[in-house]
Amino acid sequence: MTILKDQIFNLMTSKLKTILSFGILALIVTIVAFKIGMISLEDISQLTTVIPGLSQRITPMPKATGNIDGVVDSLIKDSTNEQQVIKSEEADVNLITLDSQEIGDFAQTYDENEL
Amino acid sequence: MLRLMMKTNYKNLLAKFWTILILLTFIIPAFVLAQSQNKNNSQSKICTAIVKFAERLDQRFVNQEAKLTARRLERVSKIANHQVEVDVKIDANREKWDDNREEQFGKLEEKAQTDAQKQAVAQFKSTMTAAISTRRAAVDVAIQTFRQGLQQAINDRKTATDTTVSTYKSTINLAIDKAKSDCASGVDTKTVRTNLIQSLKTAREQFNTARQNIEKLSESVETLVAARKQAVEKAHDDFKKAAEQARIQLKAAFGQASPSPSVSPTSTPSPTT
Repeated sequence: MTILKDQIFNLMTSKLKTILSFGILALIVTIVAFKIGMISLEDISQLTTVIPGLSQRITPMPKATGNIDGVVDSLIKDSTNEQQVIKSEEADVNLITLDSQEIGDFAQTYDENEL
Repeated sequence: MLRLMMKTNYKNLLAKFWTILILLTFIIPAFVLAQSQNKNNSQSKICTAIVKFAERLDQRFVNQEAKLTARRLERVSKIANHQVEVDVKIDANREKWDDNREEQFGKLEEKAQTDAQKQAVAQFKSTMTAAISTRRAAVDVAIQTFRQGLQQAINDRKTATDTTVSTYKSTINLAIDKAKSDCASGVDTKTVRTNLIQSLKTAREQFNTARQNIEKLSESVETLVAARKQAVEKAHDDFKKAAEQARIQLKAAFGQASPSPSVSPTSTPSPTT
């Protein structure tokens, strides 16, 4: 019984060691890549845009700095953003023909061969 | 002897003649009656078939109309849900951007040192706030106009469809009534059947032509999309012009060089919600 416990402990310990090693290695690789400029903060922030839905929630608002260009650009961005938000509604016109099949099926309500 | 034989033969012949005559008297009417019964049977068969056909058709029309109503309700629901979704998004966005704008204006005010700069910032705030209101009002009108147009197109389609279906049903019912009447009057069954089939075929062709016209009716909604796009783009462009103008004036007050306007792209990758 004691031997079995020891074996389980050893197995868990070795697994834990492996996981920790991989975690530390991944962290080191990320830090080194960041330091030598292979990846930037922008890259990291851009990663969010490839995840649909998530990007919409976390897209940052323009930071207020008091810079005139920054202020004007943020106002224009607001306008552009609204254009995009309302655009999806245009597709609703496609729903007009949603009943086409049902209308067409009236032509199939009888078969001459039934007579 | 010979005379006796001849007399007997004559009597036999006469008896045979009478027998045949009597038999024919029964057979001919029976034959005629049978023929007539056959015809009646055939007549009755096609008449019954027409009645049953009419009943089945009525039921199918009821079912098809129920399906059409269900699909129309689905459309109403989808559009209404989407419109609410868009409205909620717009409101949420505007609120968020309003907050951001207040922050932007606040920082700008902090940077204003002189009275002229403070006045320029106040003017900038006032101008841009008005421009935002104008833009949002124009966008709201564009959305409302689009929605009204969409609703009108749906109503027009419904009216046209109901009229077409109703005409189709009436034409079919008339054809069936005529067939029933012909049947009762003893018109040849083959003629009754052929006439009915031909009338049904004509009704179907007329229905299909009308249906194609209904689909063409829906093509006009593309103008709604174009008008909406144009109105929203105009609102955006007008706003951008006002913003660029305000930028120049504000920069002048702060003694900064007139900018080469920083133009945001018309389409951003993704909207914030």
